[in-house]
Amino acid sequence: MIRKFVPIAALAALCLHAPSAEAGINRAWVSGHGSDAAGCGAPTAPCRTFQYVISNVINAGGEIDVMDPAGYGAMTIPFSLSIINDGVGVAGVQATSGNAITINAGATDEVILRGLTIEGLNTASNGIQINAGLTVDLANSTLSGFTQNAINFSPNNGNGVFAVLSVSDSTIHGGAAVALNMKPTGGTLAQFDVHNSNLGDSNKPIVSIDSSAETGGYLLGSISNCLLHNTSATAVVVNAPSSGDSVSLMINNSTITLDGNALEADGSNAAIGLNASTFSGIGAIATTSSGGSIVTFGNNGMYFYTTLGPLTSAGLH
Amino acid sequence: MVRGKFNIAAALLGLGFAGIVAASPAAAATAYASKSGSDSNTCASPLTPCLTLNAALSQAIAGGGFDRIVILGPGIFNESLSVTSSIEIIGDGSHFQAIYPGAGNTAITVDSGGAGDFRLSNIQLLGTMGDVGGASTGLSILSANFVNIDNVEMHGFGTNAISFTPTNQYPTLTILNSVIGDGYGFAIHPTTAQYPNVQINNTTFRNCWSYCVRADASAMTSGQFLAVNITNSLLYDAFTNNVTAVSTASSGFAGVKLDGSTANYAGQAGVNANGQNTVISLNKSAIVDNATGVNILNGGKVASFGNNDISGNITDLSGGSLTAAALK
Repeated sequence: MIRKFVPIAALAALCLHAPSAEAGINRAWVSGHGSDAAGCGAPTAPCRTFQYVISNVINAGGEIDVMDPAGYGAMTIPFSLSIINDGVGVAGVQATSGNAITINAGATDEVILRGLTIEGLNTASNGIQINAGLTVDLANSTLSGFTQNAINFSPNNGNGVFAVLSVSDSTIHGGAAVALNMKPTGGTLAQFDVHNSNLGDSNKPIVSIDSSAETGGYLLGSISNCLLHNTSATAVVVNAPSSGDSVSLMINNSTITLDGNALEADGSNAAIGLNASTFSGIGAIATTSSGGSIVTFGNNGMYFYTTLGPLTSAGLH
Repeated sequence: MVRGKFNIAAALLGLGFAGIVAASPAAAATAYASKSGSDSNTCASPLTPCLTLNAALSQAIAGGGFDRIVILGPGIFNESLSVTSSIEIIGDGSHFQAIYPGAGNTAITVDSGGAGDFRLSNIQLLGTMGDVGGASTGLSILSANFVNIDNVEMHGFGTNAISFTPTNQYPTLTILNSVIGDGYGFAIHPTTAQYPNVQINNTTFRNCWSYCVRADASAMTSGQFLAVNITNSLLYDAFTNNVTAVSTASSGFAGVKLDGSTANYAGQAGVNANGQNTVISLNKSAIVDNATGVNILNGGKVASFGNNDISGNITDLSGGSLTAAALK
């Protein structure tokens, strides 16, 4: 089923990256009291917006630190970058249209986003649009108010190249949008890990994985210690037709509750595994089509549902 | 009975997801508040915050859209808030920030209708302040679509820290990463609402002056139900019951789920199912060191997946037997 392996070069790039520009500085500060002007970036003369720093101040591989609560504007990230708000208050990233954050990084670039409040005002399309980049690490953040996807993980890093998304300690209010959508292209081997997070409150799937744009590879996902709740649609949908990449999604120690339906695996390359999780207040727990499978280790609590659906048993070891 | 009537898809589709989907496209207004601010400010910038939360609330509402109040700097706001539309209140997370409404008062009342959303995070709601006390309720939810509480501490309220008595259909309350205690705890007691639900995750209820969590469907119509899901949480030291579900044979259904959680040191019961239309389900949880671990009254039901620790109580099980449920 798994037909490709991690390129060594890709993994090495997790630790090694070469900044693409060295004209600027490696650490810049932003503040609600700051000003976007030449020479800004020091703690004594902070800049005002993320985008100005990215376009004019920071080196690739650098870090932007937030000094105080304010709105810092939408941005496009073209290279390795860390944006850090370590508890100084609300660091807003707001958009009224398009994407709040667009990541067009290189296939070996790493992006870290921590402590952001990302808001689409019910009119912007995507909260974080990931077009390319080796790793994106989102932590301690909140997303809400988007019309398509809160996170659209659709990397095109090239055939056989990895793309990894990590979401931790975050809250995603789906609303009219999918909370996390994964649909890579160009043969990219995409993986995501969501843990300690709260996703839901929507009328779309909370997590959607679609491998139909690729073939011959594999996509992986894990959801651990999460709460997936309150969508009128199906909470987790995996579409992996026989012509597409294989998809394996594990749900561990999580609660899936008050959703229209819980799980849907469509296509012979779609597999969802359930481990030590709880399901309640659900229409159908499991729905499959065209050879999709939903596997349980027999240690999940399921109650207050209308239909159990097809579950395949697997043994713990 | 419940499963036969359950149609969450229809239920959710029928409710106010329109509140999210069809919310005003106008730009949201973020208003800032600080104890060093002034209510004559515009409050639209961190540089010009309001002095009071009520002034910030007015400014945020005037801006339209999904409004937000950001609280800057340390301090206690001595006021009560009444919320009637969608809004978010966020402490900036770097200081001690609290609301004390005064004796006999409620800190925040949410009555935003079936399409209104309310979010509260990074703040304390105080029912007592030094020797001055007697505030009634921390958060009173009369109507709302979604209410999200994250990283909030509530202490010392004389009626309830959180009172959830919704009058609209299908309201949802989510409590995350919070601490509630040193007073009365959380109570859900709807009257006319159908299908209210509560998600409590990674939250501590402590030193509860009566119950920590009380799910009461006795005023609901037969066939309606409420659901309270408690996951990865700690409930301890209630004067009466840590968790109690209450209803009658002719009333609504009260379902409480305790998942990966601990209930201990209750003066009466760790979990208490009182009434024919009550079910408390236990999964991977510990009910230990209470006067009574599991108490069953008047036909109540407590279901167990056989993976719970019910031990160390003076009486582990009283009033009936556990109903076995199978893991899948």
